[in-house]
Amino acid sequence: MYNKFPNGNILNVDLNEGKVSKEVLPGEIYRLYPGGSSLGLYLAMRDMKPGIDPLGVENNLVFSVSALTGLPISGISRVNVTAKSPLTGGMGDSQAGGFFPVHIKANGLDAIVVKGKADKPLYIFIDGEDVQLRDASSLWGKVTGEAEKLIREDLGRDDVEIAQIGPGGENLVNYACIINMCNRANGRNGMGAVMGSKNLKAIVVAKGKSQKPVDSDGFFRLSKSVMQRLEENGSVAGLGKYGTDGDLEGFNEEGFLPTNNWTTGYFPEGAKNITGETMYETILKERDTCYSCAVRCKRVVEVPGMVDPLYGGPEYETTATFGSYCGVTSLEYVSLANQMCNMYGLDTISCGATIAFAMEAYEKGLIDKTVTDGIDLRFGNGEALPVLIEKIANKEGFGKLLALGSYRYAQTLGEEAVDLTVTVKKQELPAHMPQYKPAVGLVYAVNPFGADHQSSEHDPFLVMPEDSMERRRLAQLGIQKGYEDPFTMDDDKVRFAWDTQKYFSTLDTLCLCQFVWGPSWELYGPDEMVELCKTGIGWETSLYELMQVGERRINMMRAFNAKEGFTKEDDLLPKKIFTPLKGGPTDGVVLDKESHEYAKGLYYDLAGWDRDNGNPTESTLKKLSLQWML
Amino acid sequence: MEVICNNKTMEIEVKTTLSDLLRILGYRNTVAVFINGKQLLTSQIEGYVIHEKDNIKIIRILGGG
Repeated sequence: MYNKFPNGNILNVDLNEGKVSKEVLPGEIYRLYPGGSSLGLYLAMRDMKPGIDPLGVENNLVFSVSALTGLPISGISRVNVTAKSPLTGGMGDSQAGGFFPVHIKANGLDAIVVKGKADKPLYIFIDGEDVQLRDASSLWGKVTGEAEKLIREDLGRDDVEIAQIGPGGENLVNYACIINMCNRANGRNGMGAVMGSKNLKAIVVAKGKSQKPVDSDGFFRLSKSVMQRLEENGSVAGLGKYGTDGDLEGFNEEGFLPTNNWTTGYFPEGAKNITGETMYETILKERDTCYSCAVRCKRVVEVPGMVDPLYGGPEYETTATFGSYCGVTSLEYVSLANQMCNMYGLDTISCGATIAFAMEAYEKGLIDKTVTDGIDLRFGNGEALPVLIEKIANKEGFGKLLALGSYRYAQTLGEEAVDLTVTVKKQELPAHMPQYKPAVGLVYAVNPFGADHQSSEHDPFLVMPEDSMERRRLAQLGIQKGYEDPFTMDDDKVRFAWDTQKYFSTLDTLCLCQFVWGPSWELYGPDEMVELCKTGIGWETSLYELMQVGERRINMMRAFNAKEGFTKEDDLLPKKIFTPLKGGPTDGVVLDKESHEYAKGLYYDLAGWDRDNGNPTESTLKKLSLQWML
Repeated sequence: MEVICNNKTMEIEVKTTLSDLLRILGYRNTVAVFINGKQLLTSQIEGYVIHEKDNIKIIRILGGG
């Protein structure tokens, strides 16, 4: 059994013809793209031509899990969605957790490839060998909670998991997302709009059994250590208790909480209200979990008469984008905004950031109430959030403009407005400031699917003591240099950015949660990821092979984007990052442009990309077995 | 006794340990600590007894999420 990689089982759904078929991907090919984003890219791109309309019939939409998905261990239930992105115009992908992913695998599938467009709304129901394309006309226009209920009634069973779009995806909002369990989102890159363009409301999978490990003794040594690991790891225990929002107040105290559309890093009037500790002490109803995970970082909040626990609770990114980005101090309104994005199927980061952009444009007089449908869009107006979210999802009035995303909307207003946007490749920045984390900022710039905070490790961990668990794990990747502060950018930092980007790319391929299997502070480290592959599925792999898997994925996306006309001119951080922050402890702070540009050049060298155009060279693609992309 | 912590002068009791100080200041255990310009190992933080006039730098580690 050892050293033999399992075959991949692919379900092809042709919506043009209304036909489904199964395909077996041989193990030797599957090993190159062993799941998640890599498998999705391989399956989506193998017959996709450059220049197609992301919302046209030629775009391919792939749901993929990995060879590891479904093993009974923490952080292992993630689903990846891949397609050409309507937001960036390049290849897009997005990941989500929950229970939906493990039940794709439980139905014997590694990926579902959706092609073409149905002539009327439908949903796909998968129960083992039984695959049905079912009428979804009566579900169209329904919010996620309502549609879930109707799908269960239509099937006459409750033992299903559902990933679906809301009205945002149906109406092709550029940053529409895909929601499972009504509260887990494949949020970024507008994958929900691609699904909506295919008239596909939902994918529904019957619940099944989990995957058994090949080497049960070795595997359970890993899985059974989880409680001890939680006890010894304050960071992960804190994540479980306070959620991803637990550090928000810390960011504010350091002066690096993006506030009022990134004009300042300081939000003294609101940070305390919206931090994870306040959420824990006030509106948290319970801590939820993904399949088999002991961390339980997922929030479930309730505000009677206002916020329904069905829709979960806000993550850090959501409290920042709808809170500090918009100057909103009310945790209740932030939670309501989170709920409405989950109901209507919108990415909370792009949605909140686009509203924040509009607020700054309004305060600067670039737009007024004649444009905003009479809404007072000053920073701090929490009451405007639910009104705007509904308008965006339905593309009604001012919402039709905001549905474009901040960059495209700003282009219609002129250069002064474009300068207010905070995007890379037209995708809005998450709430980690490059001024504080220059290596994260570098990856924001060069990342093929736009700015992403979960595509590399964050700079501050290199400030930890050299005997700390975090630094010892990073040393397993050859990253040994420590720093006295997070702000420094030098050659070693560039290597840190590139190497950890490859590592995170591997995680997005293996569909492993980055809070559980990351390279520094997380529950398990690099060595244990290798051990998981060996004991879980009998894959005799190494950290070298796994890092190359991650590198291959990044290059696949870059190579596709190159054919779409992307160059290093698309690897630009927004002007705001080089504009001095105002107020608080970081008054006047900017990211040093010269060192950032130097770092980018070195990054291209390390990645094996052409310095002149920023794209992968022929030899780099061949090194990664990607000659088929030339 | 007087010490400098993150560029501010403060008074603490004699024999205060670094762990005590972190607790008093509300830091979690994920921090980096420099004493008089030298970083302490994680294994040294727990038992370190602060001296008068020590210059202490505490850096909060804020990661992803």
